[in-house]
Amino acid sequence: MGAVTQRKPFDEIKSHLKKTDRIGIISCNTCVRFCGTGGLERMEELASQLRKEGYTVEEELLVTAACIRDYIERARLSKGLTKVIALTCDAGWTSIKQALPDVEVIKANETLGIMVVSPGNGVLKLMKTYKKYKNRAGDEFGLLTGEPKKEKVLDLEVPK
Amino acid sequence: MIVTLRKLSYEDLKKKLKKEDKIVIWSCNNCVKFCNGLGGREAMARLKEKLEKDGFNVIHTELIGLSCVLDLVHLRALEEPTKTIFEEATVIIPLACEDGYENLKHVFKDKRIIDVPLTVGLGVFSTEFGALRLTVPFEDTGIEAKVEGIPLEEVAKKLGVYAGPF
Repeated sequence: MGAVTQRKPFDEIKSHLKKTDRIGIISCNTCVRFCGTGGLERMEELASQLRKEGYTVEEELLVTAACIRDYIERARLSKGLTKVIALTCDAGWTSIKQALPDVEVIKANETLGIMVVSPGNGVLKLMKTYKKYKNRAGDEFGLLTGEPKKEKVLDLEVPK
Repeated sequence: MIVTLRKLSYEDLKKKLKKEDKIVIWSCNNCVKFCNGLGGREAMARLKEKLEKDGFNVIHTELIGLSCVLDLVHLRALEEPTKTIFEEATVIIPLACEDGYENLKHVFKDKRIIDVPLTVGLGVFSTEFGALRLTVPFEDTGIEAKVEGIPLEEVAKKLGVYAGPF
């Protein structure tokens, strides 16, 4: 699976929403959970934050992997949603856009590249990256937290 | 999901192997299986059969859940029954993404790991397509991102590489 993501600031996510919107949030239980940018807890946190500020979060959907479009299509989401927040990687975002072509889909995360994971060391390492994050290749993050690590523990060759 | 193609044709692969090699074919059971069947149990069996027909010595096929999890790769090297097999092997053919390839190089330092994978970005699987499509390519591919995705055969053709199993 393996995409490395980082959360966009809450204010940036909010800037795409109106108080009159009927909002859905979709997240995965794989890569983004590893990165601390998605999964059940992060989805509940985001929904709760939005509700506290007066937004209407009508649906929360956790799927194994949003990049498998069938999961989204078969979820029987409310017909009246006006915005969907993709608490996923960019592949999940494109998958949701394909499945829900009439709804505005908002990215809640930035996708940096792909990762190697070491549960024993509690880290994930950014390997091949998208251009914008080239200088971050080799960076390590806490597994399930996404917290940047000051000291690297995985002595792996990182593609240039 | 990670989208991976292969840099080598079957003929290219054969040129990298010797008849005296003790070959292990290695595959994930996840993303690469969706990449037009580049990996997975069937892809490994097919490659094993082809190589054996051509006189190569395939001593083992190893299917792993995810090669991008370094600890799982380490376990194969440290624990039986795979420890002995990998000690005997001289070469590993990875049907995995570039992360899996890097992990194999890191763990099995004394083996030749054939440079098969070209990871081109992230994509979406749908039963409507019946396959994975590339939607978020790495910029160095020169391929433009498309929400609807690009079939892997088309991506492979543009890049002069191969999609699907050997």
